Amino acid sequence: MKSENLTAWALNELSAEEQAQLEAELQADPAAQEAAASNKEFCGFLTRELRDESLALTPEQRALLFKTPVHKVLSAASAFEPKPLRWWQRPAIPMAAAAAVIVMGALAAYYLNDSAEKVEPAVAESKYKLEEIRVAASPKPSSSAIPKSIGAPPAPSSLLNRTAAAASSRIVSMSAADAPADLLATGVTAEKIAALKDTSLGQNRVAATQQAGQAAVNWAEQSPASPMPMLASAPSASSAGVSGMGGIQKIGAGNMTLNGGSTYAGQSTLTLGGNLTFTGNNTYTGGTTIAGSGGMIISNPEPEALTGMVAAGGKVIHLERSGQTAVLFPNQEDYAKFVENPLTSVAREPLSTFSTDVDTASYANVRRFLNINARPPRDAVRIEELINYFPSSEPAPAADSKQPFAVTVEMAACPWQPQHRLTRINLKGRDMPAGEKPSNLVFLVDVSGSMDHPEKLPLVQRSLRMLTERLGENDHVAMVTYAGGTRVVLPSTNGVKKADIIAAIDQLTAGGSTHGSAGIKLAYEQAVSGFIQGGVNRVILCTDGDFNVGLSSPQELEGFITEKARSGVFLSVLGFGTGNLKDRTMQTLADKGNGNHAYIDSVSEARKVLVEQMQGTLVTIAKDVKIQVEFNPAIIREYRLIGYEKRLLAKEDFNDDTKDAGEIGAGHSVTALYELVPANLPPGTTPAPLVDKLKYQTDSVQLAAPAPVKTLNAGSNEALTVKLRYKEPEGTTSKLIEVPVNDDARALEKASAEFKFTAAVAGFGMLMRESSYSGSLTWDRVRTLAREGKGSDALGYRGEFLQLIEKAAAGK
Amino acid sequence: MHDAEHTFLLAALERYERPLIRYAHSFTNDLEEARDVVQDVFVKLSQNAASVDPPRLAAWLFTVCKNRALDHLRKQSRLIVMETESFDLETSPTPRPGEEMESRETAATLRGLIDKLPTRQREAVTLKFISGLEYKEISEVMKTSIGNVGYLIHHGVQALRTRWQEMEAEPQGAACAH
Repeated sequence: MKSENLTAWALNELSAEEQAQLEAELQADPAAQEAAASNKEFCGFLTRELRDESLALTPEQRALLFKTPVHKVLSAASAFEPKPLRWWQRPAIPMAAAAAVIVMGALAAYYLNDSAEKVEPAVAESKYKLEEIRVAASPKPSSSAIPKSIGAPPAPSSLLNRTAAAASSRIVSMSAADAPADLLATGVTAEKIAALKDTSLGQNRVAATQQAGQAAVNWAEQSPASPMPMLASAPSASSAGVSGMGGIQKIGAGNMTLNGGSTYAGQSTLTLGGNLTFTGNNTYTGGTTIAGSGGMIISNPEPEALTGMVAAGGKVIHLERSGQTAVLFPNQEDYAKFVENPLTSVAREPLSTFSTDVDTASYANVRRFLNINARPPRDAVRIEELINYFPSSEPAPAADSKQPFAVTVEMAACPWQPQHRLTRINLKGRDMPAGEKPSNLVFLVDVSGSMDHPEKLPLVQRSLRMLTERLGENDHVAMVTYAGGTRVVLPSTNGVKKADIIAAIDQLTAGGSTHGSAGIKLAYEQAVSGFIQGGVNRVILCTDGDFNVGLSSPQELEGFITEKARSGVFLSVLGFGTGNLKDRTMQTLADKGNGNHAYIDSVSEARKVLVEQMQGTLVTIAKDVKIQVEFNPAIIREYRLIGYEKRLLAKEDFNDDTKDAGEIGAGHSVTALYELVPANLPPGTTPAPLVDKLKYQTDSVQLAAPAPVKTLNAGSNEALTVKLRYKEPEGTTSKLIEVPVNDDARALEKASAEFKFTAAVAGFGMLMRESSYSGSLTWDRVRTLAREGKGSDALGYRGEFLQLIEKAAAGK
Repeated sequence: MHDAEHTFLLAALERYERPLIRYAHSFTNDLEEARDVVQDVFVKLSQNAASVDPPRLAAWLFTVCKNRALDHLRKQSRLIVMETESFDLETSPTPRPGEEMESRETAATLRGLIDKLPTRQREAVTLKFISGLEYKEISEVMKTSIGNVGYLIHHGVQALRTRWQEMEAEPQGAACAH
């Protein structure tokens, strides 16, 4: 019995299940029972004594409060007790999509007719009952094949009219131009193609709001009996956040929330860049396709709504019911861009080449999903970013050592394929004591209207304050903000003048549109004008990613940043807030700008990035770090690089110093894993598909039966050689490190703690991604490995990871 | 002002005004400031009613309240030295019947004990017992897991209980205001 549970029990905070279990345990133990009772009595005493409050606002304050203009009509009844059949507005719906087309089709009779449906609803008695829905993806590529693939239990049956039969669809096309709110509303055109019959949709209101500035567009969905055109109105919108929104780059930034109690059935198609969130007592059957980079979240807030999630790219449907999550991938083929690396034959491809990556954004993102009991979209799970989130405990080379990083390679049995080997390659960057290098920092802060959110600008401010606390007399800080216009709010200021810097940070307020590229230009100008030779010159961009590119195209912006990176100014991109869909843009910017990208979802994450790993974030010790591994076919038959799918390089790029690759910061560690199939394993375990004999040439490596490989160094016991190329931060020619590796036939039990922990994180990612290579892997195995590899965990990251494993395992 | 807005704000005010002021007070140590903070919070609510998700209203209010209170504190700390002694919230112009007095003193004593808890425990205990939030809401406000909230509250309560029992045992102690 956990002692915390006794207090939770006394406060009525346990779930029914936990409560029953605890009470059963208490029954058996009179002493514990007495202790629990007295604990409960004391909790009751505290509650009684402390809750009795006489505090209130003064009458004047109250009066003033009710004179403040209110922007939004809100149903008072629904505010505290969400009622079925009632839509209300929901947060964060920048409808910035230049053209967001929603086709909501309803095939209400769908699941009624399909008796073979595996996910037959079973919530008749209790609407609170947890229900997990999980259906395999439809294999057909056509999106019209999707609706069969998902079914949801009905909400309280009163909501559901089972006679609903006719197919219907609704097209709402929204286009947000550079316009204030009223124009935004006129930009909404609604076309009703057909309507649901016999359903009670009369009271539903679909509301979309422009988050940046609380402009709102409502349109009422009328019952089909009186097919009225949709009403669009934009009550009392503040025009600040709306003007300037739009533009084609905004596709992908649009969020939409449908909230309330209604019944949706059948096939829905949604073309929307951003998030679509459904909340309320809704029932959904059929499938929904989302085109564009957004995600879709459907949550039923019984007992509590879970919203505000990020769907990072790809087409994905989330369906949450009371904390359970089902994820549907409508069409696997849409993920072609991000399929995991396959097992590759050493005879055919003896070289594996990739760029290092120290980004960690994916981990923070996955964590946020799990913390709201949702499953992240597969493409949001980038295994290398999960692995590299955890600083490895290998010793770093001394600050004055010749090589900027130490290389460790370890090989042991593979946890999910015991006959396979797993190789862990770790690069540990040398530490750089704070203050060693003078720094010239430019904070570039997005203060557009969308940043006006407790988890955005206030968190940016706190993060920057934390960073400022660490600065010294050798450091200089300037700050540039961008919204509708661009301003230097703090000229380059010495790090000892903390009060000035903090005052400037405190004065930031959000409002207006987003004109990011002008901000970037100005920030780079500031950085160049204060350039410190041999120092840290860096622009730190803080944004929610709602990045309106003012240069003519994203390519131009990338080109601009690439060029600036050559000037020696580096870029860090810090992403903030939920509803962030420009993960990809930010990552691209960071890559092009010789920088790093972190996602800051909490104060503790800000502390990790800006305080605990400040040197890693700010000081680059090596750039264009590439790894190439050559495998010895006599020892290894096949290999598979785990993660780094988006970082693969052509083998020729390895020696090409013009090819950009990843940076490593001070104290950073970069870890990569290879799963290896030993050559002595009986063949046939992993049959490799062979291609036909070539018709026009013979000397290709892709022969039906690989020509016998001429082994060099036949006597060598080396399984592989790891080669690294890197440049000094200001260098242009690369240096090479080579590390040959023997397989010492190490069992997994004998592996180091770091090896086990890395394997656990990779396994976690593989299970989250539903990897086809996960073999015998289970959550239990992941948990055991993580525990064994936890080590001292001074900063608590690994302990948190163990908690995430529990959440992921519970939601599987 | 629209009726529905009014009702919404009023309902939010009724439910959360006191818990918020008490919570703000745990940062500001000053009743007037706490009131100002909470007024700001409700002004912000009225402006952001559209973007506040009703089921997460509590978490939203307390998060905004905390940020505001800390902002106040920061501005304040630059100007004047913080009063270390807790402001007595219970000063009242009219005398009260003895029994009620006693109860109020008990509450004041308990709050004094809460103030001595470690920061995180203090915050969790305040949000639970004074503000009446659920663990889940507390976890959102404190940006931590529900498990951690349970841990903090449990240990906070145990510490309070031990201390309270000690005070009861020694009638000359600080608790003996009555």
